Amino acid sequence: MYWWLAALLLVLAAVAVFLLRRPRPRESSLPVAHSGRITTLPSFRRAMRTRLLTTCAFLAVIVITGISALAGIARPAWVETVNPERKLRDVMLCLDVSGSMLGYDADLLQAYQELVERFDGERIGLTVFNSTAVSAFPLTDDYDMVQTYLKDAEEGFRSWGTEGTDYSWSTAPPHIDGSSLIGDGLVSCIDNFDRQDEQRSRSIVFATDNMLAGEPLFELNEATDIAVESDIRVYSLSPPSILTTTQTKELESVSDRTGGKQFDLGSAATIDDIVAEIQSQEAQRTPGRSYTIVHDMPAAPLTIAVFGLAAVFVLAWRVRS
Amino acid sequence: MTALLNRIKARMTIHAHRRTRRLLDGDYSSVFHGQSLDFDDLRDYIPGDEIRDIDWKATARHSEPLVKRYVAHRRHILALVVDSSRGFDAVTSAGADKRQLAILLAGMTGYLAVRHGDDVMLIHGDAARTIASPRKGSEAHLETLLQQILAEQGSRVDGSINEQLQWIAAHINHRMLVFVISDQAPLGPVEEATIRRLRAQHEVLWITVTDADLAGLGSASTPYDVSRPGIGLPTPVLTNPRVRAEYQAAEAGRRQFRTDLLTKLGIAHTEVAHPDQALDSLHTLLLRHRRGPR
Repeated sequence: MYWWLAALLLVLAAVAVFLLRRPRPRESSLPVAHSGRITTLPSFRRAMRTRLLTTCAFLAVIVITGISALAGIARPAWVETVNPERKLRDVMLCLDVSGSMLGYDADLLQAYQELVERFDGERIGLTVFNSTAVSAFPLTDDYDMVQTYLKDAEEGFRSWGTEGTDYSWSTAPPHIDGSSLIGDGLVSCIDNFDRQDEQRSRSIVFATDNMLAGEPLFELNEATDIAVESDIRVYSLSPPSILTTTQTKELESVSDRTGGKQFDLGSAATIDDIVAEIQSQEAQRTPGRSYTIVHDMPAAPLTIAVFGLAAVFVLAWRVRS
Repeated sequence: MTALLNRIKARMTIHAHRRTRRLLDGDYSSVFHGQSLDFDDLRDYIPGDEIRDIDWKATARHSEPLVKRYVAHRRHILALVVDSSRGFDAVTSAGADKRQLAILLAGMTGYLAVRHGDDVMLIHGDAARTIASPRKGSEAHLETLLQQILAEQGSRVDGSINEQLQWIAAHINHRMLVFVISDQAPLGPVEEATIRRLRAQHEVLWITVTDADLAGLGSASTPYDVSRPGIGLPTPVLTNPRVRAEYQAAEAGRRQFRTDLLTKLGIAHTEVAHPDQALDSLHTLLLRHRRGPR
């Protein structure tokens, strides 16, 4: 649609070259002698320099205008794929850091880091609990920060609290009896979801061995009720045990009731599968419809072309006069 | 082979009537006054002759005024010094051909000399070489000389009138009437020294064929310098008001310098731009020479 612009510029360039080229003597040209009388004058040299500069500027403007016009004709665009559903997903990582789980926590946190790498748009939070729950970080999509926190936590568990962040101390205050208060932990995790007024997909990755020791405020059943009420799916992860215990069964029932799934924690490799499972499960629940948005960006080149065209006319007028 | 001279003669008759031509004869013959007192004979007065050359006693016995003729007046040598370089393949300030104008001026002066019974020689050339002809007093010889100037058309060398003047200074011992036809090539100290030297030995007359006004050329003329035939001069720059002002100042300065220099050396000088002015200019020049400081 702007082809005429390119053609016009071509014509203008030709006219400019014709006007500004060094005059070539023709048959009718006037021979003169001793042109040094005028060509050695400083003002003549100055005028010639000005003329040269004007010519260069003219050609440069024409070239710039032409290039930007062509760029405008080429319709520059950038393509963006937007998945609005993903932005509506919240995943809370809920980690049991009781004594029985300490051996697995580092691996779990490493698995979480891998999980976070695959996320795009989902918000992630981490809540650790033992006898009480601590929000390591709230729901966020700042993945850099998330990775830093997860790394620190992993290091803390690997070095038994000498390096990184030690959560085992802060989650077991002396004035609360018992440890591994599973129900309380789950309720705390549920509580840590924000934006309650928005319609969002919420899920919890609940990593625990379900080894209860003490008197919790909420039984696991009560906590599950709350989760169901809040429409939160609980994916439970339990460390491998020699026999399928009642604890594992209980966890399975929690997942089933909330619409989640129960996984056995084998090795780091199976964690990958779990993550994929969780994601596909969530994808089914919140079908992501991707939009491909093509952003047309003709403004910059065409603006340059318009101003360039104006400059060409001004310069042409300057050269003619 | 008398094409050039015939045309010049025709021009002298067409553009000036007989009286004027006789006037020129008088102008020419009085160029040499006071050089010898060897009285030769008497001749009829021609308008333009010096009043003091009139033999009043003889005139009293005669119906017409008579003028004394001296031996020295006869068989003089007129040396036509012409710049025949490519600088003369250009146009004058009036748009005429410089070479044709130079030939016309040389032809007119030469013709006067031949009629006066003097010998004419031509010294022409450019910066690289100088060619001198033998001295003879015939019209055919004059025609040959004019043809020589014409033959230099299309020369590839720049001019330098100083070369020709130097040549005269180096090669010619006897007194001559040196008639210089040059253009507006700037004169400097070197030329001044040469002219001064020449002036001490010879009678020198100087005609400047004016060059084109470089700042006043039309934009359609696409001028080019004859010394750089392939490259045109940019008329928009030439006619730029600031360039034009500076050029005119510089030109006026050079013109003043040339006039002052020649006047200081006691050399009659005039400028010619067009063939139509040639006869008048020649008359003016000879008159100026006669009246000039001695």
